[in-house]
Amino acid sequence: MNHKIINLLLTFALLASKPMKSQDFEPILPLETSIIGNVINETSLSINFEIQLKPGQKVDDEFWLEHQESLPHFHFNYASQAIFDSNCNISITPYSYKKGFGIKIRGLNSYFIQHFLAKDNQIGMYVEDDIRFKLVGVENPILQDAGKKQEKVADNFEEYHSILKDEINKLINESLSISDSARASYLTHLNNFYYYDNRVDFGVDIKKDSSTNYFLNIKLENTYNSQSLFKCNRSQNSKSVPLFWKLEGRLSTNFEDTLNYINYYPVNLKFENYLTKIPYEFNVKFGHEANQVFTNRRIVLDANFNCIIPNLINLTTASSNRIRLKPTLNAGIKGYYDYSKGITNFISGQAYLKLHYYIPIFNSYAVIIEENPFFDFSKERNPDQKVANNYSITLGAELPKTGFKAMFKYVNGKSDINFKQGSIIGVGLLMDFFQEKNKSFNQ
Amino acid sequence: MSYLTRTQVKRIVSSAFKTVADLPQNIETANFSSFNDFQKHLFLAALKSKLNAEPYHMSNGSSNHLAYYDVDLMPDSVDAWPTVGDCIDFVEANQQVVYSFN
Repeated sequence: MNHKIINLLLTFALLASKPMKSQDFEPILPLETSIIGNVINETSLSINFEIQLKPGQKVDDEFWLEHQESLPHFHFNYASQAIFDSNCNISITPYSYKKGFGIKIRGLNSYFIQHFLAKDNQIGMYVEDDIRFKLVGVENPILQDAGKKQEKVADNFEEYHSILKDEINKLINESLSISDSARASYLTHLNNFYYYDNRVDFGVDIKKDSSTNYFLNIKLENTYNSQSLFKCNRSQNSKSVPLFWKLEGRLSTNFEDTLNYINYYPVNLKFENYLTKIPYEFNVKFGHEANQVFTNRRIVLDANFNCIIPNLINLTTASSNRIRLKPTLNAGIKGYYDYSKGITNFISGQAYLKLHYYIPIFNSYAVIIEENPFFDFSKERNPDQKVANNYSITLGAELPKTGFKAMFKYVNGKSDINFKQGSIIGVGLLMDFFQEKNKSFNQ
Repeated sequence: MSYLTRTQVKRIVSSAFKTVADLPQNIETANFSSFNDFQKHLFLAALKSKLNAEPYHMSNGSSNHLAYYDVDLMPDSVDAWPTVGDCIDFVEANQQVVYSFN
């Protein structure tokens, strides 16, 4: 009895997956095409082919699984072998989405980004057959314009369509293009994903003696060669670690402000894994650190580890409904050669912790605590061999949908470059430099 | 059908959030304004990997290893979502079913 049922099911399955004929599909044209970049966890480009759908319709994502012979196959025609990278296998993978279908191109390299859809006859992409797909009804359609009379398809709606091979190939190779600015934007996004911590922060010091000083905080990170950011698959061991530079500092119109510093690291390497149980970044950098007037200066080699730790405090209420971000902790150690003015040069080291903790308070207030204890091993800089500390407390309010925060900042403690105690109260603006500049890659 | 429902997407987004934050009772109206770059970075990486790892289920209830879910994201994707609810809507509308056979 069981064998009969199994045979019946197998027969049904074979009938269900029987190849369909081309005349079963009604040819249509795609409504719109778009190119979408992705740099999260992998570098890829997607090309969407949107279909003109009626309300309540969607592209059936199971059709290509049930009729695998209909899965579209694409290939490249190329003028140069440079399209291939010995470490990267360029690949084209089809996908469905609710409004249409698309292809995902992976294994990108710099040559590909430079020439794909550039209309320079270097790289062409072609589909090998007509693209066939199925439209079905949505189970519980939510019509956007509920007040308007719209044609709604039945739940059991099914239609089979195709887009002719020649139409697709013409569309890709003649109509679709990526502008130079979009290519540059993609590289910028890629850079910002790995070396993202670019920001500029202006402010004003308020002193008790009514003198006013202006300060500038900068933190810029960029790779020397953005092409080196292309990686085939970030889980592969073959990936390279790009080299980048980093400039950070606090400069003030009060040159003698003990908290001023300017650090430049021409050699930076970052190793990261965001997908482990404890996501981390491990940074190694080599460079020069100094105060603003270069009387204190040293050459450093630094290694540090960046991770997230559990929340320590809750100042929200049940009704305030705010996300409580976990603190980020950076632990590091550095060796340095100190050749400051007026001292005998020496070699020593320093261990440090840096905590960044954003604490939401009630409905819209917040305090940002940045804590930086450090221990210097040298007798010259730290004769008492005590742990020193500097910290900042920033009070602010979250302004909805602007990304801007009013800032009132108090900084106190010893600078780790000159060991002088200092404190300031700052009132100013905080902005993310690259948030202003970035634009979507969408065409 | 086998595209992820909004409820399923919300579960995945919430799970990704737990990498970087403790969540309020109603996550949908919460916003991203207090995220620093490291936290944005971790959230996006977690969101993408959790979506990729979600088993693909066909409408008959069976799982199928020949397809998986995906979504295209950029480092500034977070900036386009005023609230977490907008993030859920974006992933639900732009989810892809990627075919891993040839």
